Amino acid sequence: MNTESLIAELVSGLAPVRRLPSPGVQAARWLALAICCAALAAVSQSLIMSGRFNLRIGLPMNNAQAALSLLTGIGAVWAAAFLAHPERSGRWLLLPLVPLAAWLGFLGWHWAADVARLGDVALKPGMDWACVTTILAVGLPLAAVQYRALRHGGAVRPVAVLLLGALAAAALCSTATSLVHPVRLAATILTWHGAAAAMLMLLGLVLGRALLQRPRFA
Amino acid sequence: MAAAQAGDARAYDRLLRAALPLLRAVARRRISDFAEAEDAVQDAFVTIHQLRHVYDPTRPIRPWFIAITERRAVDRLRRRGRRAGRENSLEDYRETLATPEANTGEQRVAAVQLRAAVAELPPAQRTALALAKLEDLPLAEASRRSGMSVGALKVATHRAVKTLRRRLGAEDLD
Repeated sequence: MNTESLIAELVSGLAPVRRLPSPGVQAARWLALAICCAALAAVSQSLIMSGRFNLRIGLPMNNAQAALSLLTGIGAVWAAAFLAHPERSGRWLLLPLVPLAAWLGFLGWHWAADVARLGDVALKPGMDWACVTTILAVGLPLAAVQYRALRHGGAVRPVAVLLLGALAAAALCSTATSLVHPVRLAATILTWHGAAAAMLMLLGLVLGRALLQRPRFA
Repeated sequence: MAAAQAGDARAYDRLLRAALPLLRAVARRRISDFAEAEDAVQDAFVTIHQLRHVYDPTRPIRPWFIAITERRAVDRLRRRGRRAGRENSLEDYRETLATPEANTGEQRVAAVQLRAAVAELPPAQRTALALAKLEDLPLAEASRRSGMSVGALKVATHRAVKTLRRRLGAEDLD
């Protein structure tokens, strides 16, 4: 088929379409849903662990890392929504990378401080299954919802949308769990929250493609 | 594009045809092969059609077209690279099947060509060639069976061989 015939075929089957909302609106909608879900998950986690809701914001280190993970999540969903549009600059990718680097750097710096203060004890991360399971169990459906909303990104930047969507979900769930289940050792947060986020990104990359729109060619 | 989003087919047709030179220029800047570049242009048109609801009419459309075409051209190049990595040239493998009997194609073609060339010889040359060369009879016996003199038999055989050499291209190799 030559190109002129293809154009004629595309034009002949034209149907009106409903325009998508702007990337900012899409990001804000998902963010609202994600914050509600993460908060519910955190409350449930607190009730299961201690029998009552405990908002524990006493540890400055924990609060700071929760704030940085929140910024990472917001940056990631914003970047994913903009990168799903073909003409938007690839530099949107830098938006979540700055808070992500700050988050990881902050935890790394605190890990070094823990080692200097506590010695070898701080080198061994404690188990944190509650946070890992919450991040995965809540993060995966949230990432799936985002992939569905940004499915048009599959035709232009699928890998960026998949990774950033999963990162956003993982970071927001990490924030929520940190506020009800503070951890004193940075090594524990870095290892288990980091492992959960990495696992979620890997799962998103492998399973999320099915939810994105794939370019179909004549 | 805003009209096309509302279902105006004529506006959509005008837009796509007006965009064609731009898309071709973008694709050919990336892909040197003409046919491959045209395929990338077609891929870009299909993507534009699939994503027409994503376009925001308040933004310029040119960067939108260029970004989609660039992406499809890069995809084409990647696919071609992957394909090239998996393929081998058949020219390097004259024998294609494991059994020796299956690889006699060229010999069969040569035999068919030789038979056709012999069939086109004049009858006297064909008879002389058959008796003197193929059946390898003594000249006296060949002369008796063909009814030709020994001299005529020698001349006809010589001419037949020369004609065959010319027809089958053997003289080019000398």
